[in-house]
Amino acid sequence: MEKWVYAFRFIGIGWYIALCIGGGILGGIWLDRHFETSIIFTLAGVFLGLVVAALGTYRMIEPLIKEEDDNTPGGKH
Amino acid sequence: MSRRGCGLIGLVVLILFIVGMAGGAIGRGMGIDLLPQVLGVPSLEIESFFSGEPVFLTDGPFPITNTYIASWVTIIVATLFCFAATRKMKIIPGRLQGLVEMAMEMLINFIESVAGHKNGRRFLPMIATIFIFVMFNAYLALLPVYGPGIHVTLHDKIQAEETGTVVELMVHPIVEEKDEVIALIETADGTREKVKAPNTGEIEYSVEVDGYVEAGAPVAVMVGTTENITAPVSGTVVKLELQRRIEESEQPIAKIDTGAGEPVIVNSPKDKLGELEYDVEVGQAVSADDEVAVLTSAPPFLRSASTDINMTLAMALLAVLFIELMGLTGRGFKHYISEYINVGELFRGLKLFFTGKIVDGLMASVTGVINVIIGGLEFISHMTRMVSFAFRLFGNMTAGEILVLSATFLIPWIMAMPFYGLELLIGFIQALIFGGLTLVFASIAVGHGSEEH
Repeated sequence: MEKWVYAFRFIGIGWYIALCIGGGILGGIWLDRHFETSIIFTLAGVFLGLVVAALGTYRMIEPLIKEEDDNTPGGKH
Repeated sequence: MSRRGCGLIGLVVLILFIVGMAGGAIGRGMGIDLLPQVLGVPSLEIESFFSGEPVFLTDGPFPITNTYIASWVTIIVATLFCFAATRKMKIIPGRLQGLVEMAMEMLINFIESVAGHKNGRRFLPMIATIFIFVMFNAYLALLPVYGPGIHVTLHDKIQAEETGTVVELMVHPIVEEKDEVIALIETADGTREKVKAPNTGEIEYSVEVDGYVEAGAPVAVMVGTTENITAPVSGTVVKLELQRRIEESEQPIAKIDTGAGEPVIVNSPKDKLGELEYDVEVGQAVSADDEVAVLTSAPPFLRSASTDINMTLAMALLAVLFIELMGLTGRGFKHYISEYINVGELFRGLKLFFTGKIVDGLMASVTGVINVIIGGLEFISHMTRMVSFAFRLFGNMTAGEILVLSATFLIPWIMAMPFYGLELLIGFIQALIFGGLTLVFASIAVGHGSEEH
């Protein structure tokens, strides 16, 4: 497959990152309200969201990175 | 075109630009008042940003919004267009047929270059439908019959004309005869009024009282009895004058919102052009020059379908459903579901662990946990596609409409033209992106060009 097709997938990457972090924060705030523990779950949510966002982003760009390492042009490997 | 023709057009454009510059909002800001106000300057407020507004069956359980009508218009126009292009097909195509054939060929080539021949043919109907629908939506919305993709309106404050209150009274007796005197109304200042029955049956009568009355306060006496007639509600009716020139009959011209109850849509009267008076009931007594209502323009009949978040969300749902369905049928249920819930490695590791191979088992278990996490990531990334699909299209289309609207507002006539050109480009690009992304995700879902090979 052509390289630009991989690139096409990154159009939605901003939303992915935003939703991961935002979802983590909102979930954390909800848990904090529920258990009346201030900030702990929110912080954990932020952290979890960041980790999930980073891992997911890495997984999305993985094929491109591998291609660079293999130095095989054309996309098939 | 000759040089003279070009020069003439350039001159006309230049004159329009200068007049527009001077007469538009910029000119008005500099103190030149050349043109009548096309769009009111003082306070334009957004009536409805995220979705269209009901124009039909507004009270029913399923109100028909203007964006909904626009989407039907798009479907009809696209169908008619294709019908016209393929009605008399020839080997050597005419202009219209040639255009449609060329577009279809480009679409097919594009889809097959991504998904391959076999899958490409399977995806074609869906992708082409999305592409054509989005593009027709965007292009049709540029026609003048469409209202702006965002309903902005001039908020006119309406003031009461005079001090005083009118209370609506229900006079309940069943009357037997026409012109029978049924009530005698005496107001606080001592004037007496006889109420005659206009018809047989129940009647309603409005009476003006001097000052504000509470519900239940006696305001009149029934004739022949000593029974008091009481005000049914505390409230007042104020006569308003809507100074709008009406050019056509039976058009919705205004929406009146007094804050008390549902807003009222005012139609221009059937047989009258010119100014219109309208009575509106306000919740409490008002004195002269009090603000009693806000006059806003009624929603436009048509509004670009893609400027409704419900529309784009529905399309995004459909696209994501299509992608998942293609993955499901293309790879088989077991293979497909293992992408999300990948517990095979974990169970294998646990099995090894409990049968004695502790180190191997631990290693495999760790890999298994990672696989489970990756499955979760995959699920999240699939679900966020829906949001990004929906908001991308909605955002681009709405932004474009706002851009054209503000350009028209700032410098009428000339300024909007380059932005119309830009909108043509954006309509095409958004159609390509929506269709293309669905295509790419679907072809990844069926396994062509997926990461695993």
